[in-house]
Amino acid sequence: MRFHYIIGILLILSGCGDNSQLDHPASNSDNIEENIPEELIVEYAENFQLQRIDQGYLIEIINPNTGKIEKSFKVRNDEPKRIISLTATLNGMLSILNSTELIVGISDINYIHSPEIRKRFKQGKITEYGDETTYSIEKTISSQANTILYSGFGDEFPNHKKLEKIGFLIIPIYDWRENDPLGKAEWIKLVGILTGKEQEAIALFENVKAQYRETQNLVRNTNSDPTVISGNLIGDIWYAPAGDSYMAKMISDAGGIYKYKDIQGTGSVERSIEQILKDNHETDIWINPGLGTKRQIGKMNPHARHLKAYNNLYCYSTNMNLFWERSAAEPHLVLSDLIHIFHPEIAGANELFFYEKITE
Amino acid sequence: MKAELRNKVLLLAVVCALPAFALLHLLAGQVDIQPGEFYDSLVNFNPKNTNHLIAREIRIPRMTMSIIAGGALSIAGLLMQNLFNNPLAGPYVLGINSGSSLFVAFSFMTGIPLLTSDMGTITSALIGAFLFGLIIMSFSYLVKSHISLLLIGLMLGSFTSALVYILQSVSTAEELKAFTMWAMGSLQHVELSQLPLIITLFVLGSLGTLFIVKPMNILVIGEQNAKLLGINIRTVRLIIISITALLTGLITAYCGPIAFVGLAIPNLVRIIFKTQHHGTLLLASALIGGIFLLSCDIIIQVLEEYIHIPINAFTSLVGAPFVVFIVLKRLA
Repeated sequence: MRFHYIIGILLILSGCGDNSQLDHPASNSDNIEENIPEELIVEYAENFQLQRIDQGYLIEIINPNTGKIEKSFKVRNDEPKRIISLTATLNGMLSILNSTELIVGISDINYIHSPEIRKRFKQGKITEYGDETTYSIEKTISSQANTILYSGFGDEFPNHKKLEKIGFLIIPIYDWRENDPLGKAEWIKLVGILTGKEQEAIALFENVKAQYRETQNLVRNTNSDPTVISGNLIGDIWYAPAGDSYMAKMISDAGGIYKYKDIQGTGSVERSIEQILKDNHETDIWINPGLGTKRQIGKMNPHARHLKAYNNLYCYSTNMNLFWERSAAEPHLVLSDLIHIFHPEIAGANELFFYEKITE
Repeated sequence: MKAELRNKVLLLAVVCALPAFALLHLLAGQVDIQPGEFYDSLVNFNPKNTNHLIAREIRIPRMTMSIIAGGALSIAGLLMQNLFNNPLAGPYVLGINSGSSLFVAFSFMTGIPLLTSDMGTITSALIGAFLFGLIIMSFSYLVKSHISLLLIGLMLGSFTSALVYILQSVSTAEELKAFTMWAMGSLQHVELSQLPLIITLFVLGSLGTLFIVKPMNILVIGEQNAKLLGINIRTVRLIIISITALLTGLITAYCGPIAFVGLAIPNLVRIIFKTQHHGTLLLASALIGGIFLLSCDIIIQVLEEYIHIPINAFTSLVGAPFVVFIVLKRLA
C-alpha cells in the first residue's frame, strides 16, 4: 500500500500523473458563472471573495496587508477534501458543519476543544502536525491529506511549491484579520464550499447574522453606559484594542463605552501603565486580561489592583480552546456575553457562554 | 595625595549627581505631575487622585528601584571581578543571573502558591544565585584562564536556558505567560509597600561589603600573596559569593534579568577613579550604577512615545559596546 502510494507520488512529481484537477490560479478563460447565488456574495468579510464557476467555485484570498489577491484557486464540487487544519477557528467551523470526518490533521491536540475531533484523534484518525513553523514536510506528504488550512501572516506556507506540485491545496486563512464580527463569521461560507456544504453554511451564517442583530438590539434602549477597558500589561506596555478593531466594535455593539474607540487602527493601542491609570482609573469593567486568576494577573501586572475595574474583571481564558474554536463562527454568543457583563439589568441577556468573572 | 583628593571630589560630584538624576527621573513619565504632588502623594495620599496614585505607586518605586538595581548589580559585578581577578566577570556573564532565573522559573512553573508568592520568588532567586555562585567558584579552582572561566559561565547560561525552555514546554499557558513577562525585565513592577524589604536587603548586602574591603584590596595582588598576609581566602570567597547572590537574586526577583550593568559599571568606575582601593570603588560603583540605570530609564521614558525598549535590551545596547571597548583596550 505504502509502495503504491510512493509510486503515485513519483508519477505526480514526474508530471505523468493526472493533475487535471490540481488547483492553480484561475485564468481569464475560466468559465465564471454570472448567476452566483445572492447568499454567496461576501457581505462582511474583507479578506476573501467567492465566484461561481463551472462545476465549482473560484475562491480568492485577499492579503489584508496589501489589499491585493494573494491566492486564487478553484474548488470542484466533486472533489472530496482531506484536510490538515492548523487553525482553531476553522476547526470550530468544520465542527459546526459536522464535517470533522474530513479532518486528518491538526496542529496540537492540546489546543482542541471539539469533542468530535478529540474522539477521532484518540481513534487514530487524526494526526498532529505542529504548526507551519514546525511541521514535517515528509509526514505531510505521506498523509492522505490534500488540503492545508493555516493562519495567514502574509508569508507563503513553508515548502508550498513542493506541496502544491503534488496536489495540495494550501489556503491561508485571514479570519483573524477581519474587523467586523460578522466578517469573521462569514468565513464559514468558504468552509462550506470546501466541505461541499455551502447551503448549510449559508443557512448557518444567515442565522448567526439574524441572532447578532437581535442581540445587538437588546442594548438599543438601555440607559446605562458602563466604561470598559480591555487587554493587559505585557512587559511595561499595555496593549488595548484599537478603535477599528474587532473587540472595539464588539464593545460598542454591546453598549460599552471604550476609552480608545476613537483611536484609528485595527491592531492595538500601546499605553504605559501611567497612561492606563490616568485614562481608566475609574473605568467600570475590565475584559480580556489574558490570564484566568487574580494571582496570575497580580504577578504580571502588580498595579492592576489600582484600577476600579479590578473588581469587575472578566476573561474568556478559563476555556481558551472553546473561545478560539467557536467565537468567530458564533459572534452573537460573544456579544451576548458582553451584554450580560455590561448590562446585567437586561433580562434578555443569556447566561455567560465564553466569559467568566474572575474572583480569585 | 593629589589622586586621593581628585577621587574625593569626583565622589562628591557623583553623590550630588544622584539626587539630581533621581529628580529628573521622577519628572520623566508620560503623565504630567508637579513636584509638590509627589510630597502630597506620600503625606496626604488621596486614592481618588490619579496623579497621587501614579506618583506613589509607580514613579517613586520605579525611581527607587532604578537606583537600587543599578547599585546592587554594580557592587555584585565588582565583587565578582575581584574574586576571579577578571575585569570581564560579572553576575550576568558568569551565569549567576541565569541560576537565579532558573530557580524563579521552577517556582513559577510549579504553580504552588507558596512558591509563586513574592517571598517564594525572592527565595528561589536567592537560592539559584547562591548555588550558581558556588558552582562557578568551584570551576574557578579547576581552570586558571580568565577566558575559560568566562566560557564556563556562558555555558552555564546556555545550560540553564535549555532547562528553562524545557520547563516552559511543560508549563500551562498561564504559567508560561507569567514567567515570560517576568523574564522581560522591568523596573516598574515594584510597589511602594515592597520597598522596605527591598531597601533592607540592599542595605544589608551593601553593608556586608564593608567587612571585606581590606581583603579585597589585598586580593588584587593574588590569592597566594593574600594568604601570606593572613587573609582567610575561603571565608572571603564565601562572603563575596553570599553578598553577590543576595544582591543579584534580589534584583532578579523583582526586576527580572538586567544585563551588562554588573560588568560595565565597575570597569567604568576603574577608568574614572584609577584606584585599587575597594572602599572607593564599591561606593562609586553603587552610586554610578544607580545613576546609569536612572539615565537608561529616563531615556526609555522619553522614547516611550515612539518606541518601547525593555530595560534589559537598553542596558545591553549601551553595555555591550562598552565591554567590547574594554576588551580592545586591554589588547592594545
